[in-house]
Amino acid sequence: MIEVPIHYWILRGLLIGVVVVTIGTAVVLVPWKELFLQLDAVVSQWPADLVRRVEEGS
Amino acid sequence: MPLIIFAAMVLALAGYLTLCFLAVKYVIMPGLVWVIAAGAVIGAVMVASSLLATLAGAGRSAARTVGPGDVNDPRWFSKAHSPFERDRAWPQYLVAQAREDVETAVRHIWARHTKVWIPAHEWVRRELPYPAAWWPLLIVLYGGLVAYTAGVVTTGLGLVSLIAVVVSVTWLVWLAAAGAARGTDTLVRRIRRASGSCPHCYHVTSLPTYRCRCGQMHRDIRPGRLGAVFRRCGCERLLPTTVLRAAAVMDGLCPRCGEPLRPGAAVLTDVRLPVFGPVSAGKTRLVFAGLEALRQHVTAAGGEFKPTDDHSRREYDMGTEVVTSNEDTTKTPAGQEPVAITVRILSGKRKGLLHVFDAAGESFADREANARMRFLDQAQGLVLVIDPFSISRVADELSTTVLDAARPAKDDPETAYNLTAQRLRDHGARLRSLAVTVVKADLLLDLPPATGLVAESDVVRTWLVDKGLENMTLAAERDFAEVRYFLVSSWTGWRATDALTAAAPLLWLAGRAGLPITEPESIGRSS
Repeated sequence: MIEVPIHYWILRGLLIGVVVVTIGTAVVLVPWKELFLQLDAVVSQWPADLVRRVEEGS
Repeated sequence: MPLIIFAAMVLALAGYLTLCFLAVKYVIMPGLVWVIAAGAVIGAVMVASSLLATLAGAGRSAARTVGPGDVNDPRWFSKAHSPFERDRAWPQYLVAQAREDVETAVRHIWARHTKVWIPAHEWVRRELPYPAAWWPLLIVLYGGLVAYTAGVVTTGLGLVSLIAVVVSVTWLVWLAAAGAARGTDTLVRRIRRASGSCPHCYHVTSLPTYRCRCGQMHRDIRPGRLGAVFRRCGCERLLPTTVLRAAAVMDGLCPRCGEPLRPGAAVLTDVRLPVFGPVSAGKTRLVFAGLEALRQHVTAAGGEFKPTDDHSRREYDMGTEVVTSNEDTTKTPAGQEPVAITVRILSGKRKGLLHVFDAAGESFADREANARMRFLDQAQGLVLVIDPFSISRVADELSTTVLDAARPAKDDPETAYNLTAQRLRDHGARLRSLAVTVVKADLLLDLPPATGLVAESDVVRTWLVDKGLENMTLAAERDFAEVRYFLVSSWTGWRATDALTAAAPLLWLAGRAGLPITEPESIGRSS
């Protein structure tokens, strides 16, 4: 195992930190709940249509 | 019968299509939305994990280490502008390893996350009879794979771009730091007129080689790709990166011959002063007396004067003993290139190394021998020693008894001057300052040929012209940027207080070369 200089790990740590912070910020800032509800609303259209058609006997 | 079979087939097809329509409309389409969303999120998470694993050096994701063995690999480093290879030291992370980390991460991401298509495709061909008939199911499968791949590519590009921006910004900060360190190092040494002159091969360098304790040579220690503030040798030892700092902790070596330089080389003002003249002109005595008088001058002004090495200490001590006890100097061996007497001088705020070269007079009487005198080429100033008793017009006015007592030089000064000046021109040397020094003034001043002669440059020049050396003085003034004339006594002039002090030409030349030596307040020269 080659002992790499400590500054390699410091700079890699900086890059890892930037990636983690960016992903973390995206996770926090994206309105997941609203997105989920919107998707759910879109997806629910088809079963609702099916139920309505069955009830109307068409 | 065929009609029944045909009707059954039409009915079966109609039923299949109806089922497909219902499946697509009420199952596949609602499910596909969730599959696409999940595929994209999973792709993003996977690519982020791969990237972080590579940067963290986890397991098989770790990038190859770019170490000291790679500094001459053209993949990472352009060829150095030097006859030597790059020094074996750890490269700065941003120079090579950052690129290797990102490239490895991209390779891993591409190899791992685009391969998901292959097992999925094989599963479809193996498990589903008539795969095309299962097209509603394939929409979900391949829709999910497309979303996964899109998540991988988008997130991958985004994160790699982000890393590229961070690396670029850090690189700029690093460049500024390295540039500032390198610029300061160069500027300070230029202001000091610092250089390192090799006592063995006479090569002059502004960039000595430094040897790590492991034996590894570092030929270019300046801030650069191998480190801005420090560099790590291949043996793991941390080394400073500027010449100013390296010289404080490591021994400098000549980059040409590898021999040790004097302590302080390339950091302190470096003044190289050869003394030349005919055989028996009094060069060696002038050097000894001049250095002793210079020591007294410097220390009287509160400065320091110290020979830097064993050879210089030995020569200086021996020379001082000779001149202070009025002994005769021994003849300098002919045919050898001289080793300089080097002294470290601290005067006021200036520190410098003064190298005084004393070669045998035979070297200046013969064109072939003169051509070997490499130390002349790098001189910032020269001292031409003139024995007044070797000037024919002076000798003509004196009795044989007086001349025998004066032991005049064998050749005339003009020959020594012409040969040396020709050699300097042939080798492209810069002819800067020349101190034309008439020695043996203690004997001369009491004799008729010296009537009106005093230790002033203009007076000495006029006297030399009167005595037939007009051609030589004119040639010297044409060849050199500055010429000054001195009258000294090497017998009494080892005292700094003497009116004919032998330190005078050295003081003038040192000042012209960037090492002005403070005039002591207490010194009062006797006349």
